[in-house]
Amino acid sequence: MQGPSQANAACRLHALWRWEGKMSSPKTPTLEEFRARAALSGLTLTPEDIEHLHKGYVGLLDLMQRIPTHWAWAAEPPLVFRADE
Amino acid sequence: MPDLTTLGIAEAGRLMARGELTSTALTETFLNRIKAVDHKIASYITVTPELALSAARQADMEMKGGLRRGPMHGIPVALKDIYETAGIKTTGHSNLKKDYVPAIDAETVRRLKDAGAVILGKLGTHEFANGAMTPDQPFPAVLNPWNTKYQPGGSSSGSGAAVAAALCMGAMGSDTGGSIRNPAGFCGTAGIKPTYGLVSRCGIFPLSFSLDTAGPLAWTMEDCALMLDVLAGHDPNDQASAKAPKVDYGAACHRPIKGMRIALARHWYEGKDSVTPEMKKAIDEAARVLKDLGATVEDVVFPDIWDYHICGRLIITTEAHAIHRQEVIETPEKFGYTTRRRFQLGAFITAEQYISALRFRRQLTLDTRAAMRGYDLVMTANHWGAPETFEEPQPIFHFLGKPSLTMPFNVTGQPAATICCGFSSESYPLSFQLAGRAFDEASVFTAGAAYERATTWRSHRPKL
Repeated sequence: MQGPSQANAACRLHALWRWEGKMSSPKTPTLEEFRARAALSGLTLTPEDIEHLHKGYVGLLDLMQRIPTHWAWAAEPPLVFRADE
Repeated sequence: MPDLTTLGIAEAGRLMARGELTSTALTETFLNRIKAVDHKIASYITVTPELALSAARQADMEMKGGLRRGPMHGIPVALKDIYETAGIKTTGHSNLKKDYVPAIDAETVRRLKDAGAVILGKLGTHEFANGAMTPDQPFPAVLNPWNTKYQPGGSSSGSGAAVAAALCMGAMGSDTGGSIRNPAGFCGTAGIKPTYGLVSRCGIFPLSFSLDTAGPLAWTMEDCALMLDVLAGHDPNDQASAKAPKVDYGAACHRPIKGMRIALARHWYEGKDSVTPEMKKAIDEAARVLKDLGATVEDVVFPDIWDYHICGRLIITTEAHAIHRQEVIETPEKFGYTTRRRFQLGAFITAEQYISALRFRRQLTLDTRAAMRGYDLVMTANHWGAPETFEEPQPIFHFLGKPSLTMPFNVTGQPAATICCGFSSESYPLSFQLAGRAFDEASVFTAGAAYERATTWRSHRPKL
């Protein structure tokens, strides 16, 4: 059972985390642009790796549009996640 | 005497306590079955017959002398090969660790041994609990015992296959995005991802620190409960370990479910992405059984399944890269081709994107809790339909297709179990999930075990 002070704290936190809208789509890199970025990644990559990674990254970026990017500055992420906090 | 390999853990324990069965006889029966049939499904990477028989004899001696350590005493189990075992190879199903012999046991292995369990060996897994099983890895792919043309699901593939094929009485798996529940579902076993922090991960190869959990797969919910009874507990060596009160999960399996309130997250599996008609029918029927047993089952709207999916996937991709970055840079050729690229992808995630995912996780956890208000459990599908077949090349980024039905409870940290609810016309298992509030595994076991007792699905076994 949540006490009133806990509930208030939870509501306040929740309000802090409201975002101003879903993130605008970041520019999808072309394979060339991605190749340039991959060269700075420190990874040893074959041309085939880069093609696969480009597809994976573009797919991930597309899905990431669901994640808000505009957070209240005080919206602290869980540093050590607790399921029961 | 019934077929020893299909006994439940509780029943085997009762027979041993009465002196009608020895752990040595039980262990020998499993070792003989492994020798006879495991070559058909390749669930084991390493079998340890001498150590198992030695532990079984020790258990028999103790029980004969009046020492009974509990329900796992003398019970043969096996471990996903990411659990470190003193003096026994722990490979992660990878060329990178194929000769690695740890000096000490993982905390969970220590707890199982302290409870008198007998370790039969180590089981196949997706490489480092992440990559698919590909021919460039040092061990064969694990096959599904219901039909070897199918994959067993992963990443705890050997754990699901070995339990279903009656090659151990229970197995340890790990679950970061569904790696216990996927193989449990595709192999028709029970399995539970405990609450994040309930079971120690110390000595288990990590994939994603903030999502990794360790838990059991077994033939029934009661068997999983008896295993979890010895696994749960605080471990100061695991930073995420919680100090949760001790609960008797075995006893929880025998409570009535009358009055229990279950929120059905139907919109996760009957929307734009939909389960097969047979799966839908089986879950509807399971909901009816739970209602007949006295529970209330009502449709409830939760956050969109894709929100959990991308949140969890982004965290896994980033943390897995951080964990494996050095090997991915220095010896990329030693990884399987799917594992390598899944680990490389995290190099392209920015810190801001990762932090946004963590913030999103907290929001989803709060929103899920709000949607669950007034309900004890969430019920939903476990997987979309038929297991995948073996085709090369395998998809590198599997998460770009349908969303994971298991990911929501990794994101929220809640306990979630897989329960078999029938078989398709092509004879592959169908299943659903039950998830509880954080640290309320007891309610999950109560409802899951009641469902299993009320149906006949636990009497179907694959023929090998």
